[in-house]
Amino acid sequence: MSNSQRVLRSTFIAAILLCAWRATARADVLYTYGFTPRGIGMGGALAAVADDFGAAYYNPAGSVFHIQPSVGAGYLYSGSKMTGIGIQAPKLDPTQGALLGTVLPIPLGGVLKERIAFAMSAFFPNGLLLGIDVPYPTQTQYPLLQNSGRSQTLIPTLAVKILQGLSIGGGVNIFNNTSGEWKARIDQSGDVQATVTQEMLTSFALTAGLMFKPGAFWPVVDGLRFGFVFRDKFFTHYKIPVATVVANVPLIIQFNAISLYTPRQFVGGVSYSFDRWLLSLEVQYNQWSGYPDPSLDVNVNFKIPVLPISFRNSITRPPHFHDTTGVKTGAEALALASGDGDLLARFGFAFDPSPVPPQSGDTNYLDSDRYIGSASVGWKWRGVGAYQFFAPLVFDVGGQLQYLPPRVSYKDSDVNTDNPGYPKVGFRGWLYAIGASISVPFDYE
Amino acid sequence: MRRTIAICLFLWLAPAAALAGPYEFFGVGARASAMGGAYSALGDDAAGLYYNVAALTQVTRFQAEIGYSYGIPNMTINGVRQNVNLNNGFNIGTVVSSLIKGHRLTIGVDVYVPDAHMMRFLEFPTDQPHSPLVANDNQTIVTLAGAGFEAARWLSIGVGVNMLASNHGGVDLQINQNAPSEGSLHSRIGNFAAPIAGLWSRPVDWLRLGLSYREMVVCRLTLPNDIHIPALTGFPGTITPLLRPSELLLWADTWSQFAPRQFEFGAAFDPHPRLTASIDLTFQQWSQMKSDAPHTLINMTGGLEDVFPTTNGPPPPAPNFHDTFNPAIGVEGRAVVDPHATLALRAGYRYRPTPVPNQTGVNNYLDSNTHVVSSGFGLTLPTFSEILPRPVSLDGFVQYHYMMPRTVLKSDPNDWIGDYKFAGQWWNFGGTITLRF
Repeated sequence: MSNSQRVLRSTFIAAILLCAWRATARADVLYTYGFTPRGIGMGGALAAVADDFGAAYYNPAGSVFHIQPSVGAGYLYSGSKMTGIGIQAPKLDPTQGALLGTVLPIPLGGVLKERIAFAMSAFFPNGLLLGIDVPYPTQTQYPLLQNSGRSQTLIPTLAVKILQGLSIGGGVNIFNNTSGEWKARIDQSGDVQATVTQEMLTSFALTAGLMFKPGAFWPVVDGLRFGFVFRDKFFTHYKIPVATVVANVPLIIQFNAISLYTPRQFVGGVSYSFDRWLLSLEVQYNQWSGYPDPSLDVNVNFKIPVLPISFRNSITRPPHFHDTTGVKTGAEALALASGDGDLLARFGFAFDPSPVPPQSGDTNYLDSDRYIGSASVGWKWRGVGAYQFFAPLVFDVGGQLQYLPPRVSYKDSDVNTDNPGYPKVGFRGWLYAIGASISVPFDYE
Repeated sequence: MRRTIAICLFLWLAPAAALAGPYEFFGVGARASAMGGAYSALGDDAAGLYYNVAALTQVTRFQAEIGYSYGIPNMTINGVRQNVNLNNGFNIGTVVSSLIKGHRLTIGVDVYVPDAHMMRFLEFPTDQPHSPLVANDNQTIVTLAGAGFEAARWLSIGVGVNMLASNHGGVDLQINQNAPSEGSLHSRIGNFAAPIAGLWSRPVDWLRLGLSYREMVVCRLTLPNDIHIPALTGFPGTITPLLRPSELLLWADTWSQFAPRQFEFGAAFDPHPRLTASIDLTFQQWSQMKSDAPHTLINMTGGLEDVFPTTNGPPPPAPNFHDTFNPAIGVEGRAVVDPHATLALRAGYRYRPTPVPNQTGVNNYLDSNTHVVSSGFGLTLPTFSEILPRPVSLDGFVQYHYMMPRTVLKSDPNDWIGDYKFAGQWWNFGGTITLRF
């Protein structure tokens, strides 16, 4: 190893240690915990790595550096233990589902040889395409976590290698919105008959990345990678008006909700591999300030004849979330190398500041900074003795523990005493996630 | 007057037409659609995921397909043309193949994405004339994923899934007179997988046999809406309530997107090096079809019940569909076989007997026996360019569906809708580009 490489390595390790106290964020399950057990175990700091079947999520530009196609599948389970302060902590359902990812280099010829790759990352929560819970506005709730594991995620991407050490990639995060109508009438016999419409409309959020390997131009920094990722914000709409006639009196109630908000994200990362080590560090900016009122918007049109009675619509309560910046760090080491396989050990740390302001008003949004520690092991199994598999089987197991320190808000004097968070609302708790996967590279022939 | 009301209702109708999903009705893939859907013994592209997942093992390396289809309906009731949704959407398929210890394993995904919706439930009351079969199904994303494995040189097996969603959800509202109304929402769009499976065999070079199974698909939509209303006062400042606290429950439950359990057997022959012929026979278990009309309940308790008494009717009657056998035949002739290009011409025919019985009762399901004729072409360029060194194909098709006129005679002379006659046609066009890598 040359002097310049030693300086680079030392500088890199020092930067990680200095930055380890600021980190990342949440909303959908990939945002909250990461994708793939390897990514989960490395604190999610893979924007400048993206060299496995999770590339489409971590950095779509990384997929084009794969020589072989690969496919991986796994399972994720996450749970929580929350303790209320001044309140009884609301229940947070566990998240569990299947992970699926693939990287397929497209074997073109000529000037496009080994320059284009397709990749896809997907998460399928158990038995769900989309689940939304929107509690009453003043109810104690976890606005960032309560729906995070209830949405199917599908991210297809395409990457292009522009130069030998430079690539760009882009794709979309595919979701759906729900709208419809519930319209009833009374038929000739006096029975209620209804026309029910419900539509799920496809929506997309852009994701894009860039990866730069300066070692392709300057061998002295071989092993160094830079990654930049952009993920646009997304959210789902739910809109179903109810229209019926009650004894010739029209009753129309429209309700709308926005849920699963995940902020626009800008990620910059750097990784460095040397000897048996891979170190990574990234900074992530999350534009939480666009977070809309997560409560149900209710519009009532029901006028009872003769009686001077009318109903009021709901009111909007802007949540005033603020943007956050976080840092993730991760490391991977080749702990054991043998003829049968390689054992990889990984760990990571991240810090995620909360975007939620103090809850001194009507709402009771529970959220706190997250201190995230993680670890993972991987076994790249080539075979047993003389018997070698057709391709190495890669088994990964990873876990994450997230600490949410106590956070308490005291209500203003103008808040009703029957507010569920009066006179103070707070909580502390833990989140945890474990995942396992198997992946395999293969050839088209 | 009654007839006038019925005609007005007909004109107000949105959808009408024919069979279950877009694949059951129109087929998938330009080549298969041109050959009348007689494809369970062929299935050597992404369309194989639907017709016979085992046949995918004929695909080598990696190929990607993208297609588009556009279907134009012409449905009439009593001679009046109806406003029926188009059938238009993209079809995307990817098939990846590899050899494991000399045995081919091929994995594929095929997705149909309608232009308008990812999924739609549009459910009409029992007595409203409509098609139970295509109203929603060509407005629903279809996702098929599966794998074929070459167990022996002459035999492949395949399994996969057809993924769809059902929905349960509603709101709990508190609508207030003297404070802002507010509410909570609970919604679950659940996914489920219906299995598909197949066997494919090539006992001799000139003969291919296929047997496939597709499990029944049906989606459920449940919408409970619970509305709470506090005691209501009449005038500002008064505290004596005019109405006691009330609760209004609006509840609807319906089944939709039904596709029957199917067993399909097919054979393909190559009587001449330039000619392929195929036949299929499909059994469709329509007798399992549930009513697609919403079962609706409005329940009121408290003060509202005092002033708005409401009755609820019985659940929708069963549709009593019957099982069907659909025969299909297809031919393909390779008119031009040249080192630089291959041009194939195709034609097909399918007969689709209707599963819908005579609509003499309350139900008004519109469907009739249908003849489907089709034709198409396939142009393959073995070496498209240096960038795409493997074959590139462009396939196109056109289909004509003729729904035979059918007369509905009601047994009850006082039936609100009355007697009527309906008929229909569909023109369906499409194309697929296949890139092989």
